[in-house]
Amino acid sequence: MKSNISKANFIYKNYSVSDSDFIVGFVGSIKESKGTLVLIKSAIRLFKKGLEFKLVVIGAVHNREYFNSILELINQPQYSKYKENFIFTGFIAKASEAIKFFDIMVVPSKEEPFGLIIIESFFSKTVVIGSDQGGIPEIITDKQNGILFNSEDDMDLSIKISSLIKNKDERDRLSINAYKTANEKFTIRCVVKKVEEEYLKLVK
Amino acid sequence: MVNKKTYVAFPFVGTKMGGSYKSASLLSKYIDKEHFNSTVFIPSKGENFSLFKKIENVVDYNLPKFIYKSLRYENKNYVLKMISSVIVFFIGLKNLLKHKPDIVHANDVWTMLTWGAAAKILGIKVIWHVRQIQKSKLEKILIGLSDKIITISEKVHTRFESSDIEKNIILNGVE
Repeated sequence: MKSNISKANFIYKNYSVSDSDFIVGFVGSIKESKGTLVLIKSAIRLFKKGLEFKLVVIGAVHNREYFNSILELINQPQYSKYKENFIFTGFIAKASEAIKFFDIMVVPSKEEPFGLIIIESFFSKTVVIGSDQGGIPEIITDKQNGILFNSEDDMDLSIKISSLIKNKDERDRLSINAYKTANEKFTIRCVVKKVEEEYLKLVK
Repeated sequence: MVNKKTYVAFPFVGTKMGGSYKSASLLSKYIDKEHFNSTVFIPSKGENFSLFKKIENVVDYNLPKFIYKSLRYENKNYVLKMISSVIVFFIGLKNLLKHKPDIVHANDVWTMLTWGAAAKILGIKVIWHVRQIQKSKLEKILIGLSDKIITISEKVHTRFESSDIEKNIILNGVE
C-alpha cells in the first residue's frame, strides 16, 4: 500500500495539486543527459489526447539554456491550457519522500550510469518507466518490475505512460515486483557489506 | 588482542547533490563501526549537507566558494581549474596527514586528482568509486592513482575492460 499522507499537504502545498490528481514524476538535474525534454514532449502528446495528470519535475536546473528550451515549448500559445499541469519544484532535499506521492516515476535519461532514483522508487512502491540506456536495464527488467522505453523516443514514452495510467492492476503488479527486487538486491546493508570486503582486501 | 580499526576517508570537492554524496553518506552511516572508522570531508555546507546531519564524523574544510565552483564540469577556465586543484591538493594533504586514514574512498574525478593524488603521495590506499560511463581525458592518470576501482554498474565497468587494474562491480543501494 502506498502512503496515505495527503499529496496536497506534502511538498505540493505550494502548487495546484489535489489528492485526486494522478502524478507522473521526474527527479533529477534538469539537463540534456537526463532527458527531461523528452518527458515534457511525451506529456504534451498525452495532454493533447485528453489524458489528465500532473507532471511534477523535481530537481535543480543544471543547464539554463536547456531549461529555457523546455519553457519555450510549454509556453507556446497552443499549449497554454496545459500550463497548470506542469509543476517545477526546483531542488528539494526531501526528493526521496516526494517519490511516494508519484503514481508513475519516469527516468528518461539519455545516459544513466546506474539510476539510484529507480531503486528509491522501487522501495517507495512507485512504478518506474525508464529508458533502455546505460545501467537502467540492469535494474529494470521490462514488464516484470518496470517498463523500458526506447531512449529519446517521446512517442514510445507517451504510449507507455498512457498504458500505465489506464491500467491500475498493471501498476500494482509492477510495483510489487519492483519492491521485491529492491529488497533482494539493493538494500544499503548489502552494498555496505560488499564495500567493506573491498576495504579489508585492500589493507590486508 | 584488539584489532586496529580500518579508517576510511570520504573526501569531496563539490557541493551539488548527486549519487556520490548519497552513496558516501549511506556508507559512512551504515559502515560496521566495530571494525571501521570513517570521516567525510566536505568543502562547504552546500545543498547536500542535509545528508550528513545525522552522521558523526563530518569535517567541513571550508573551501572558498570560487574554488569548488571553478572545479565544476561546466567551468571551462582550465587555468583556474588547475590552480584550484593545486590548492585542494594541499588541503587534502594537510587533512590526510592530520587524520591518517588507511583508505581514501573518492567518488569523482576532481576528488581523485586532488585528495587521491595527496593520498598516493602519502602511501594511503585509494579506491576510485566510478559512477560515469564516459571515459575521462585523464583516464590513465586516474587509473594510476587508484589501488582499486569500484563501478556502480556493468555498463560503467565496460569503461575499464582493457585495464589490468583491480576492479569490481558493486551495484548501488538505498536505505
